Amino acid sequence: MKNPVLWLELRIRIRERKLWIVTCLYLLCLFGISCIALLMASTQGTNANPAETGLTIFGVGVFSLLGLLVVLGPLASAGSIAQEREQRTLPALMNTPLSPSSIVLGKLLASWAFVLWLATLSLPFLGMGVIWGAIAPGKMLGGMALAVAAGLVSSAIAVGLSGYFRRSLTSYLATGAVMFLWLVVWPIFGLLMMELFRWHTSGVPDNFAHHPLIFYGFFAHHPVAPLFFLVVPEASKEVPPEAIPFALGVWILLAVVFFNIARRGLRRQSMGKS
Amino acid sequence: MSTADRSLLDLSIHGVTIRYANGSTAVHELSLDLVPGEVFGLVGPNGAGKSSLLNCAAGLIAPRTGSITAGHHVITGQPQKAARHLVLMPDPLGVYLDITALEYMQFFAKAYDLTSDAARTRIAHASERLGLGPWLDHEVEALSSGWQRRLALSRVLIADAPIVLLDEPAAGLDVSGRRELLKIVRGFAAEGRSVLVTSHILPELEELADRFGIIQKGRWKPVHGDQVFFTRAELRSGFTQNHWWLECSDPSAACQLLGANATLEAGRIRLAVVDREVAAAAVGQLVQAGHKIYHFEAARRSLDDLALRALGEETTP
Repeated sequence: MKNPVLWLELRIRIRERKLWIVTCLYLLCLFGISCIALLMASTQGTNANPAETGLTIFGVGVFSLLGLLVVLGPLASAGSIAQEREQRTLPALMNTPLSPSSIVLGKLLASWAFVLWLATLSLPFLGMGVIWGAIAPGKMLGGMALAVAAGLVSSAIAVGLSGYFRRSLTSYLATGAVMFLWLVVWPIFGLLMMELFRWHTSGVPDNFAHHPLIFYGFFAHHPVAPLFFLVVPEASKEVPPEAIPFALGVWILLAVVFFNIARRGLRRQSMGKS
Repeated sequence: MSTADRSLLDLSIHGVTIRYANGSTAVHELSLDLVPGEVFGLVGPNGAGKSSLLNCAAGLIAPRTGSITAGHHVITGQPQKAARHLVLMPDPLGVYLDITALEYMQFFAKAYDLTSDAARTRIAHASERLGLGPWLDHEVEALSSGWQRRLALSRVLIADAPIVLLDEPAAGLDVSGRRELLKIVRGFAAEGRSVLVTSHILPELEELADRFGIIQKGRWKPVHGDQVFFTRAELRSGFTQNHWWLECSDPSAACQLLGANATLEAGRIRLAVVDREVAAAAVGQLVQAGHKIYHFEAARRSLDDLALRALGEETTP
């Protein structure tokens, strides 16, 4: 493994009891979600049709997967650099030829490896949709790839803030605040804006895609949006084709910005002093 | 690796000022030159600026003014570049606790971008030299603080750095641990490495270092006139004069008789003269004057004494 920090992080993480507890809880969650999806399918009277059941399980499963990854990714990485400061291991780490970029990259990839591990575990659950003929394998893999990419972005946000803040608690709180802002507050703000537009203008069709500024500014880059466009057939007809590349572009931008915040934080405060 | 294979580097700290974000000045225009094979002991009370100076030398803190060079390489505020030439053992150690001792060494071998063969060789050498062999498969957390310190020192051998900065290396070690550490660090100097070490355990530092400097509030503290650095030989000899302790009858009168060379300290007379012949003559003078001599011995001036005198009684080095 070329990156020594990744090598070290994986060795440390794999021995942590926390990893296995989170894995078990995650599997339990997926199992519970699958049961709920089956129940939903049966109450809708579609349990006789395996494809419909598979589609329900996949739909619920993939969005739950995304939600779990977007939450668990930052949880696994929000203290990664701040903890180095708290445990006083940072001076020794910085007193090596490793650049701040390679240190941050190692931390980020280790967090992402955790996301990948969880995503891999969810394959059998999501695979039910493919087995029952509800969804094409390519679409399933595309959905998973989007969920994993969203996990990477949320991990990058967490790593970035852990490099910026000195205390891991502050970095956890800041990560929670940023994620809450992005996932909840920003779309609500977008809905309010839409209402404002509707109130001011008459005759405008009531559709997200017909308000480009609101659509791209508030909704298109939301972690759920590209998956929604990909998986839900009705949505894919409504939104412009460039919505998914736009979302991916914003995600890349966010990841790069927060990566640089962590890198600069390391360079600025290797000793917690300046 | 033999000394011949490694380039010997001197460390030059020139006019360094370190100021923190809160406006406080930790180090004020300090300069220090360290030559290969030398152990320099940095003495000072808590908060004097010792650790800041070491961290600055390692490039971890960028100074407001001044420069730091290792040989001909300018390393001021450049930790990556500095790491090619020097290793800092910080205080606290900050070793990774959740990995084995072997993994710790492997990690730093990877961080120094060593080939797997070179890494194996250096890890084997460091394990043998520091006696870490039996502990390689143990988790770092399970090692005693003494073994953790040895493990931290293994970075010096893995990096094969010509300059070694040790911040309180003996902290938390028992007497035998400190003696072992002393041997290891002297070994580094014998290999031609330049060693800069801080310690609050002054008797050990006195044995370890060749040259000393006392720092207080970020400035060098003169110990004899304007002289700020001193060798162990100068310390032992009391710079230009040797000292003797004298216990006799009526010490106040005896002190007056001996004149300016004698001072009364806690009922004893400290006699400061150039050599033992002059000291013996002074004792003869007292005997002739009818004083009874109870005890007479050469005073060995310790680093403790000197530091306390230089820093004032109110501070503990």
